[in-house]
Amino acid sequence: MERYCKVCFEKIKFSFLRNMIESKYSICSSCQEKIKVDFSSIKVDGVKIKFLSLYDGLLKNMLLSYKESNDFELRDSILYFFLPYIKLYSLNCIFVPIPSSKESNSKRGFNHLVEILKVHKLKYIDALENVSTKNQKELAANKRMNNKNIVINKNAYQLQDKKIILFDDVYTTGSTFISSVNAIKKISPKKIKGLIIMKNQFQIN
Amino acid sequence: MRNISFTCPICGNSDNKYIGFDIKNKPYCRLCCRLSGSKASYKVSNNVDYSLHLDYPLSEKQQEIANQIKSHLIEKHNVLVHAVTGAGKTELIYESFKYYLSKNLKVGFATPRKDVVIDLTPRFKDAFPKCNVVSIYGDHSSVFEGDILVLTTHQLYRYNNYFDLIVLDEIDAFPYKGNKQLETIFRKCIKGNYVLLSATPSSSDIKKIKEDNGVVLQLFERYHKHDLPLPTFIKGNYYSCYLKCLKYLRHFIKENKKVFVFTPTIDIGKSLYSFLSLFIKNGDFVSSKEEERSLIIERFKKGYYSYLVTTSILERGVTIENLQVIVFRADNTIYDCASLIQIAGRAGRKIKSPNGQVIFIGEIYNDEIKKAITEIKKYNEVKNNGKVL
Repeated sequence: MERYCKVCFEKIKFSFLRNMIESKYSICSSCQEKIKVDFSSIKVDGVKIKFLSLYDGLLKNMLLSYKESNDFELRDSILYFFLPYIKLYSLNCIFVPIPSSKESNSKRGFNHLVEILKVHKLKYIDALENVSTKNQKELAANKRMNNKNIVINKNAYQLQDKKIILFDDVYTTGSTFISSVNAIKKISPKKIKGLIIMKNQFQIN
Repeated sequence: MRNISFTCPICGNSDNKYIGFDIKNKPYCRLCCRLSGSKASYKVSNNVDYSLHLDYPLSEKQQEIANQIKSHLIEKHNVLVHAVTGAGKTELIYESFKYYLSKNLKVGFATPRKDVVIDLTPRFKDAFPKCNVVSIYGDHSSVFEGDILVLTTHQLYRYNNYFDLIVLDEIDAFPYKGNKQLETIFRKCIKGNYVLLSATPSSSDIKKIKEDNGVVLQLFERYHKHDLPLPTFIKGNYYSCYLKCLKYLRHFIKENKKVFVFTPTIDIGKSLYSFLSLFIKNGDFVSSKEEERSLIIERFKKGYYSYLVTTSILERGVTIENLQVIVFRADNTIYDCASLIQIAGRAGRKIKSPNGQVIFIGEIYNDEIKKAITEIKKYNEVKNNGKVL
């Protein structure tokens, strides 16, 4: 069957080797090369966060068209390149996606992080809930910290004494992440780690 | 990729490779899913004063063509205006705009380039001082309704069966040229008639409009009645091109003239600018990837810079006084005859400085350059002898 790259719509050349190693690919190798890999990590509130890339270039455009223009087909292409690394990093761990506001979820029609985890068959539990009325994006950076509105829901008690990974798409000021950490600490998991796809470099002081 | 038959209701695309499936397994078009936003609603304006104010009166030829456009539109014909660069194409349709506005009909001015929209909006505001002129382009799309809408072709998806008169400028410019989606979107927004403006229409454009109940009007005279500047070709090898470019740039700057140096790609532009900036300090490089490009162009217009190295983003719709043009590596495959004519048309547009110099620098004197030069010669001949093509 003919395959087309989901990002640049070009026909992907058939490669026997690639077909043997990976059966489900939807992004061509030239687009893969354009994704800038930038592994880095920081520690926030005693939780180690891993970043995969910078909030820039092709990956940013892909995420924006997936999130903002509801291009649902891109859900498997965004993390595709990092998948082997993520699988190693998340051995024996359960993903907990950081929630976005209900308003933006209903506008989009799907939860973008859950769909990414679902399509890659990563184990996850949707344990957090966002009850804020205002969108985090619309607030100024210094006001974001006070806008703590992330609470645990009834699924969270399955996570007791488990290793969990908090998963998000973009890290800007870290306020959402910190309030999620504070919320999830109430059920005392064994270990908390963080995995965030992109780091928004310019706004971190 | 699944084989289904689905046609996008917005852009008319039915190619299976551009069709995706959303969470409910319904097909959607991946080409125009970015063009999702609020649609405009039809409002009748309360304005009654549509007076037209022009700084310069139209020339005789311009007035003649403007009247012809108006009378063709009244007879419900579509119009293609083939006018040379710097002929004052935009001014030609003011008369028709005034006529349509006075009848409380909707008019719009669309163009593929964002920079052209930004450049044209103040000109419309000057011409129709009492009207509400609204410009709409990416990142600037909060107000959709006004008396006169100046917008990019991408934004036309908001207006379904809306315009009684829509003018499409630069029909041969990227990204409109050869883009079926944009063409479908353009067709869908028309309620009445349309006017196409171009300096370099292809023969298929002319054929298409003749089939579509249209007429072609030609204007081969610039507003100030001077000849179009004829490009000169300078041959050099890979390295001496840089030196020759520097030589001509220095020559122009000594005469206190502003210069555009066009480069085919961003990489070539960067390397050329890094070389030129060693010798001549007050210049800058601008490309589509530069975030502050409108600021740089604004500064250039005010005279902070004496030269600007640019990619083809400034090849259309930009009017700057006393401008000279150098095309670096004019033999690159990016440039075709139409874009070379457009670039050559940047020079000598203002009435105060009607003569400009255009220099093509390249390694090979190829067919496209030859064609562009002969075409410009032909326009000048037609203008001087009064023949019709």
